[in-house]
Amino acid sequence: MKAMNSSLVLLVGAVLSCVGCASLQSVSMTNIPRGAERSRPIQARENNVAFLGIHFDNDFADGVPDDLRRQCPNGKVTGVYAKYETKWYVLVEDRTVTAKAYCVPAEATQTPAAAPTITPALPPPPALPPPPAAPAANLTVKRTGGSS
Amino acid sequence: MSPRVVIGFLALCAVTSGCTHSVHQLSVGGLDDIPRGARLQPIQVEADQEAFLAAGDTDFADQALARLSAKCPRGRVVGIEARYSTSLGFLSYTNRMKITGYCLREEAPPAASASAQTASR
Repeated sequence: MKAMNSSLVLLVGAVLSCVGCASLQSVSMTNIPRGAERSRPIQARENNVAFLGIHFDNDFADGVPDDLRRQCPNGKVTGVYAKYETKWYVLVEDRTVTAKAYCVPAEATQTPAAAPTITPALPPPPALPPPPAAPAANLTVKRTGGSS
Repeated sequence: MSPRVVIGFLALCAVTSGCTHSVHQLSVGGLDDIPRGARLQPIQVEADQEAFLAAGDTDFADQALARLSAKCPRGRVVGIEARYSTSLGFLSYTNRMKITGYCLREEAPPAASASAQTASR
């Protein structure tokens, strides 16, 4: 019976270590482009594994933006979705940053269809009346001190 | 009423109704990219993940993004607000990602209509 219990504990531990305990830490996203500009999705991913979750720096994801730009050298990277998650495999922590985006070709970004709706221009604001000139007799000069 | 009964009742309430809810993150952005007078259609999606003791992945956030894109297949999605929260239960929890935004349907180049408006003045 005791051996069976130990086996069960080992089995549960093995399953948990394979699956990992995932936690979503943060998500951010920017405006998603038009449907016609979503034909070329790109993705970059970086991760960092550490025993007992003791990490020695936080620079592992610094290359993600450059990685996205490298995949889209002649276009515009837009609709960026970034996710930071951590996974624990018993004694090991894995931190992962995943970024997804769309590469919009340069010619597509310059088409007139991408321009926003033109709204009628507002009329110019009315001209303000000139401020009344202060009479010269009321002008006083206060001297607050000086060397002379 | 004995303390045991009270504690048992409270525990039963906690188990059946969920213990607590917490918002981990809320982000809002892209509102400055909405042109004046634009025709906006509010859209909202939600994806969740039931977890017993532990969750194995965080794909529910990706699913929420995919659903948001699918709700606005032709236009742009602007003014996105994303909320990541968790509802805790007994030995289990539910992760939720709720995203709202505006589907901005851009019409054909408005140059002709704009010039017509200018000419009529």
